[in-house]
Amino acid sequence: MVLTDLKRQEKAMILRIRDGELTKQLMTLGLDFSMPVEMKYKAPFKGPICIKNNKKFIFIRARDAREIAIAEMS
Amino acid sequence: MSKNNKIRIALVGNPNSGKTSIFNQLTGLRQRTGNFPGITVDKKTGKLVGKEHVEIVDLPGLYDLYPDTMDEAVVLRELTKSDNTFDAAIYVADASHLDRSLMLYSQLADWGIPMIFVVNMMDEAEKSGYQFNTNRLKNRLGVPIIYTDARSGDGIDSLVSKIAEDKFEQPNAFFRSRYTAKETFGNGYQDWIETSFQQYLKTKNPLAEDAQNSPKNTERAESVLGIKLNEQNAEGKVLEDIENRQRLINIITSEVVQSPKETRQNRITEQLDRWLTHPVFGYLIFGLILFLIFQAIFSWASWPMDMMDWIFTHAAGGAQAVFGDTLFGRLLAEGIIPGIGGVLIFIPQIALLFLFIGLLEASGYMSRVVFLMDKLMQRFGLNGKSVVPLISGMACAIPAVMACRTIENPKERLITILVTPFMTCSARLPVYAILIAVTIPATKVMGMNLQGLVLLALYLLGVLAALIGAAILNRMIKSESKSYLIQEMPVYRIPKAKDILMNIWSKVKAFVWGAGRIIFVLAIILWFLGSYGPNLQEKTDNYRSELSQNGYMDEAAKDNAVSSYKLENSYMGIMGKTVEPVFRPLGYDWKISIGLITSFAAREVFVSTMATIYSIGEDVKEETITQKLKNETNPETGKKRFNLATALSLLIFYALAMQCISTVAIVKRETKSWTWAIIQLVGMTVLAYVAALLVYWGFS
Repeated sequence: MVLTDLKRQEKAMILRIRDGELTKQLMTLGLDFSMPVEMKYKAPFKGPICIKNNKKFIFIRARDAREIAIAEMS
Repeated sequence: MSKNNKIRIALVGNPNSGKTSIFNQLTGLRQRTGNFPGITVDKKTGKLVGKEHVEIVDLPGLYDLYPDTMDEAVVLRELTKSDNTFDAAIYVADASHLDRSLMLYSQLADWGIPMIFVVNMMDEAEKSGYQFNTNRLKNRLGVPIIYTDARSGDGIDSLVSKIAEDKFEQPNAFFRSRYTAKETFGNGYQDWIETSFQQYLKTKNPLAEDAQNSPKNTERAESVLGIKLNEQNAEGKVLEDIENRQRLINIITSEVVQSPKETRQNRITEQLDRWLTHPVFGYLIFGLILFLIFQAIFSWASWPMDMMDWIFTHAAGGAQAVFGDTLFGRLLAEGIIPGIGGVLIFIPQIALLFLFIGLLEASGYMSRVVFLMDKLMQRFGLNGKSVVPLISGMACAIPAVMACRTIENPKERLITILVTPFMTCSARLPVYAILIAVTIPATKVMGMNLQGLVLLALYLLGVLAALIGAAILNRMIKSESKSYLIQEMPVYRIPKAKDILMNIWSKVKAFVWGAGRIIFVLAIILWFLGSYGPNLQEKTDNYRSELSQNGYMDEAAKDNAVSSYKLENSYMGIMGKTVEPVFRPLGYDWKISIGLITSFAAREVFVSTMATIYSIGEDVKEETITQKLKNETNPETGKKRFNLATALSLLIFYALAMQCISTVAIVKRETKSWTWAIIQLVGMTVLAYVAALLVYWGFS
């Protein structure tokens, strides 16, 4: 399962990011792997998605979000 | 450890954990920067202050030891080299992101190197409300814990003494208690290790070279990661390992760290964003905001602009009255004062637009615009962040081009810089306003003012030209680097008045200094060119005496004829006539051609040139330039000079041509190359010429 599979308000844990540069930039913004990510908003036409993680809102493009492997939390 | 024995200590941690500040504090000026062999990753080594025998190596910041990136490969190799290995490690963690820091730590702990755990940037963490339970952290990790704030130097002394006294301790393992190191990492890591090492082989990565040249080092690397570098394993195993580590890390942080609570700002932000980032309402609201901004600019900016216009017209008249028909008086009344006025008159519009852009940025709303617009912008080879420069371009391209710095991807940034000058800037407005007022009737079409509709169409033309231009450039410019859009969605904040005013000030300053100086100097040069010429005085006097024989003309008509003759024979007239053949196909005469040449440096100079052309040799009256242009006739046909075809052709030309030296200069500065600045200048000018030509043909 990848990040774009999440629907709004659904939560998941990030397992791995298959893109070193993406990982670095997300880490730099303070994305915290140990905390769940929640899907907040999706821009239309497969535009960027906005997630919430560790009380922060971060948005990335859908094509990058597909590189992020997740496990959904029930 | 005796003082004679040298000890080597690795400084390890995540990027941005303040590791380098710690390194600087520990080693003072006694450090060397070199490269890791064969690659361009900095390797900094230094001696601990006052302890000659302790060498500290600052390794590149990284998040884990899985060699995804060059930095990670370097550190892995450095740690696993069989010769010259490390005796101990100082682990630097960012206090506000302790959980994130623990992933790399857990791998080093499982490897079994003695460590000291430094919790850095304590000031910031305490300010945002984090609290730590030191005893629990120490029990969990099994190594000494030291709190520091490298910027203020807090805690550095106790770190130095711990290092000097060799208080490094063997960390508690994360998994070794249950498995052996090799078993821990087990059979995992197949796919990505395989592909990444294949890539490393291709790029001559040091690790891959090691694997071939030095079997011993490879063995050590394998035992750290617990993998066989050439083994076929499953990626699932990697994920499993990370998950297991993360689970342990979660337990530790939940015991040790008390995080700040959810803020009220966050809740408000979520409620607002439900509407502001909505797939339908989000765009409607953005459109409405843009509409209101431009409404406000046009209605609010008009009265200070009218006031300035009035002041400068009267100042020029006053100067003429005081200094009379002297050289200085005319220079002041016809050159300097209109020159200054021509610059200052744009300030209300530019300031107002940057007031609104500043409000949108400081409140956090602009990030939502980037979020909503990115997908659309991507189609044209632009970035969501290009929206800000493009909107700024509606005030002035100079600060707008500077605003492109926020776009990280070089290609997207370049394209944004190249197309931003297509946006309708305030300097185009006076040109548009005058030409529209002269040729477009103020009638109503479907309840809308026709003049307003034409102006709106010109704004849309600017946007379209920018987008189409971007799409074409996107195909032409090749780029290897992948583009990302990774941005924090900030919480909504009430903007601080001081920040907004500072922003307006800096943008207005960029305009006044960037464009104003050029416009001002030009105004004076133009006045000279229009007032002097080869034997001009003599020729004019001859012409005047010829006219005096003519009994059919009244005095006023004679004066007009003389001033027109004088202008035609001035340097400016000569220049205009020289280039006239180039512009004749577009429907322009030599007077308009002069305007095009002078406004090559700054387009609004067209208006002041027209003003200069038509006021030279006459008393400065309050008659507006519009009426003068309306009355202007074509001496060959006897018809109005500014007919519809000529005016539309001029409008299109000004919409598309660069006509702004200040922008060329700023593009050169921002792209660090003349090449792109010149390509942009030539491209826009040729495009403008062709489009104006087609329009003139179409309408005449």
